[in-house]
Amino acid sequence: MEPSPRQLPRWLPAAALASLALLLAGLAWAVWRALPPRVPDVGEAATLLAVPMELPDFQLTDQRGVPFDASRFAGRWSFVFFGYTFCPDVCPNTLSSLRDLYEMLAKADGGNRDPLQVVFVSVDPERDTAARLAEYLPYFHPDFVGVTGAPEQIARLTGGLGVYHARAEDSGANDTNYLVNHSSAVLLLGPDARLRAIFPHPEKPEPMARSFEKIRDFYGASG
Amino acid sequence: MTPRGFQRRAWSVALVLLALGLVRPAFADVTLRDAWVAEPPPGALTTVAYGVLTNAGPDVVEIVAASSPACERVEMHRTTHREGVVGMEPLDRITLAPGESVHFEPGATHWMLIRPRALAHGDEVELTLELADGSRVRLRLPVERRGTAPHHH
Repeated sequence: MEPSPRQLPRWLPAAALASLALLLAGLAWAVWRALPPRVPDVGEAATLLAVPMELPDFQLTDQRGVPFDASRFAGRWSFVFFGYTFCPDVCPNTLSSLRDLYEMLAKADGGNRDPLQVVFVSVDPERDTAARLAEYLPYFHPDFVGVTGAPEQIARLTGGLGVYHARAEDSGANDTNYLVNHSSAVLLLGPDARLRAIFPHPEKPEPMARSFEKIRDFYGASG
Repeated sequence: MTPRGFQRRAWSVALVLLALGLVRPAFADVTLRDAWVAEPPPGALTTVAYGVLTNAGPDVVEIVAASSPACERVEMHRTTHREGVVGMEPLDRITLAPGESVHFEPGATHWMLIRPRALAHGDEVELTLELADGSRVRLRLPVERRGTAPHHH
């Protein structure tokens, strides 16, 4: 006696399909959860952090003598470079490249997005007083923000961001012409004042601008 | 000896001396092309000179020092890049084989001009290179703004 197909409940195929769909959905959800965060292709100029980095607490001043702390990064995208004005080659060339980048982005945007700022943090506060930065920095762009202050406060900021700087070993203590070794990358902080990306080769503004626009679009879309 | 014979003999002596390398031109054949000095920003205590230095002569040339009336002191430096950190190494001398060129360029070898006097785009700066044999090469470089000329990075 073979069981007649008619003896099977009519709802069985539908129930089987529904269970299968549920199972697949659950599996897809589990796989999606297990995947690393989605990292977009932002071009070769930038290295995007998978997890944004929080800023440490610090208290510095800008070139006008106005306090400069983490709140000054809020509500805008910031390109941050660490250098010193005694530097003849890399620092002024990077600032010149950042001016080109800043003007490029300002022209491409229509002022409709989060504002941008370029921040130059001195790793040589002994020679780079606020007055010197006020004299030096507007040459590159009047909007650029210069930051200096107590060496331990600069160390808090750089240490928290993984930025290296140290006086060159062969520079004598009393030598006013000493050199400083420092990280050459430009850091990108988001409007939430967190470190989002690093530009390891800031001497080329065009690829930086393209990468930045991709990063901004990505975070603008995902929140 | 006839005057003609003396002349011939003098020529042979000169040729022999030249072949032995005992007689040399009094100046080194060193050229600098695409040269420029960066306009220093206000308040800057340093600026930089770049260019392609070529030894166009038949002998090895050693540059041991440089100076300029446009600044207190000139140092030859090489910018170093190590694991994302930039630094500068002073160079005591730069040796150029015959026909060899050294590119003094952004992020690499350069002349650091310490405590320059006020210089502006359009000015000219004299740069004197001192060679190991005691001779000097005088060069003139235009002052330019960074990022304004096509050969700038």
